[in-house]
Amino acid sequence: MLSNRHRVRLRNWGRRLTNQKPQCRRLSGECLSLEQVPEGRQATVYCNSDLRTIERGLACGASVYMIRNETEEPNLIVAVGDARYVLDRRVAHKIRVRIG
Amino acid sequence: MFPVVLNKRLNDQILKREIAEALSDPKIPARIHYDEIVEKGLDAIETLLSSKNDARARWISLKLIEGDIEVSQQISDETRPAVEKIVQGICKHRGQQGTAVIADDRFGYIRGLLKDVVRRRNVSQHTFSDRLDKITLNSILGLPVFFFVMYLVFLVAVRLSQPIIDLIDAGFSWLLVDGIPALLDRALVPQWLTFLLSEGLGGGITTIATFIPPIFFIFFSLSILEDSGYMARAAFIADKFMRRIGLPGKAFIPLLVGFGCTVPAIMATRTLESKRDRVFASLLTPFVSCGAKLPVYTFMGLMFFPDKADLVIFSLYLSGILMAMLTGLLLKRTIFRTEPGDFVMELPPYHVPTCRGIFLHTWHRLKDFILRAGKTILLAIILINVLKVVQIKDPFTPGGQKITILELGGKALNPVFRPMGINKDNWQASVALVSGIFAKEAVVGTMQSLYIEEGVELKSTVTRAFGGWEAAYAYLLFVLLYSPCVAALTMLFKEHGRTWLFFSLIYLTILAWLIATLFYQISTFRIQSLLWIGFSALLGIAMYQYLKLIGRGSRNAFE
Repeated sequence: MLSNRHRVRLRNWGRRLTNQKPQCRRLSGECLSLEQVPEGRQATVYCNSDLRTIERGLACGASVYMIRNETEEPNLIVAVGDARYVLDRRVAHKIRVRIG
Repeated sequence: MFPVVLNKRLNDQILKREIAEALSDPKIPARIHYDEIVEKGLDAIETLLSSKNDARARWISLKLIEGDIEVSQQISDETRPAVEKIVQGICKHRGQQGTAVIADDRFGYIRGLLKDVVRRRNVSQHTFSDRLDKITLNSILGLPVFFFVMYLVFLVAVRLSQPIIDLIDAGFSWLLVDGIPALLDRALVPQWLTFLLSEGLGGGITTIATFIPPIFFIFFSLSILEDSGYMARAAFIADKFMRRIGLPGKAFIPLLVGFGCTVPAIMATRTLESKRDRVFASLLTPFVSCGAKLPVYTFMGLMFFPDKADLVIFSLYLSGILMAMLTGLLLKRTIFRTEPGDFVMELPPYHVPTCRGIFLHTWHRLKDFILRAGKTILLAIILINVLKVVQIKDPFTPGGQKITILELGGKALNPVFRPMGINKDNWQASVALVSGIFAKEAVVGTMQSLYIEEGVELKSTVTRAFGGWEAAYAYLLFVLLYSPCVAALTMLFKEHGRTWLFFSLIYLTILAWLIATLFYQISTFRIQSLLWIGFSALLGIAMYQYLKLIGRGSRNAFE
């Protein structure tokens, strides 16, 4: 009937309509890449080797708040202090963070 | 701390005094303490270098860890291996490149310092900008909001500029086109000079002056959007679609610059990291209607669609974006088959733009247009007026009647444009397209000079020559899509070389012909239209196959 790709799309539409977060629950202290941090969660950077993002304040120890992270989109929006950044998912994947 | 807002007037005297005070009596220690392993490494490098540069040893050591090429060339060959070993040790320990290690520690130091000295009250995680972004960046509402905002820009430009255009046109025509000849006739100036000054120079200045209001309002609206912080959001919204056509979201900025002029737009592609993205974005910039094309749209739009000119102009801008997307998809599948570069961008908070900032931005762009376009239009109008007078024998008619050089050139080119609705007698339109290659603004200047007939209103001459709105719209589509102007082609050559210059020139002209022909033949469907539709389809398939062939050759160049 439906291909896997379309099934995922339908599920995401349903989630969006019912305002469900598409990501899994993340526990405090869990280590993961920035790309996997759910919307509305705070995280602390503990390893980042990308100079462009370090220069924008995503240095080790910086606190990051995930404003928008929709799995279908190629980018996510994070808050670092007062600044808001659009980050490519591929860049965010390389930044390791600790939840909480 | 000295707060500075760059678009507000800066009191440089106070700034200089503050800097002098800070230098004479530094309040913070100048030395940054790095990570323990970095500090050890710095000490070791300083010991190695101390015999030569005592005072600057720490700074040089830092630069060596960062991998600065110029500084590393200054150290002796004997010490270099030892320094490299220390730097490698630091990088291995931290799991980062040398530059990232130093930057990371510096930002850590700054963060610590800020925590110590800055105390903030009422810090809210969700600001006003965040709340507004929930609507403007919404995955469903974001795009309609973006299109609505862009439509408002064109609505404002056309509706507000119309009464000003009429005033300027009447005033300048009275003064320069009618007033000067009357004055010169009394002074017994030769007739050819009176004609050149009134019709050529006077008419040219009047034409340029009428372009200023719509361009001013477009630039004014775009400056408001830029200064308010919405443009960065527009880039984020566009990123989803930019990815689909094989470009990173950052490439949206050069395309936006293209609304002003294609030349700085091609230059703005330098901000993209990979060569593939730069070439790809440069090829798409001519699809965005530059300020020079707007006078053509306004001129034709107001003549053929007086009540819906704003909608027609907006539809042309949208058609350009649509064609850019289709071309992007085509090129992504054929020539640029690798992944686009990544996208990192700051979203500035929304704020009320300052009057000074808006007018400064608008003035810089408008001045650029008036100086560059004004000169070109004026020259084109004078040249066309001269060529309009010089006559030679017509080789196409048996009697050998004398016709002007322009008419002959237009008639020779006319058969090529006939499938897109340019009649046999409408040679003026063909000449205008040729002059448009030199500068797009020249299209209107040429048309105004060539269609003018004594005692007949310009509007009725142009509408009669084109026959109907279908031909006019097809013509506008051709103007939108065909070869960029000489200045843009030169910039393309400077940035990416001869190959991409010819590619852009040939591809865009064929595409423009295809689209204009298809539009005209479908909108005025007759039996013979099938022939042209079939021919266009075949041409399209041949183009696709040829692009695939080019893609095989250039694939390795972008990998």
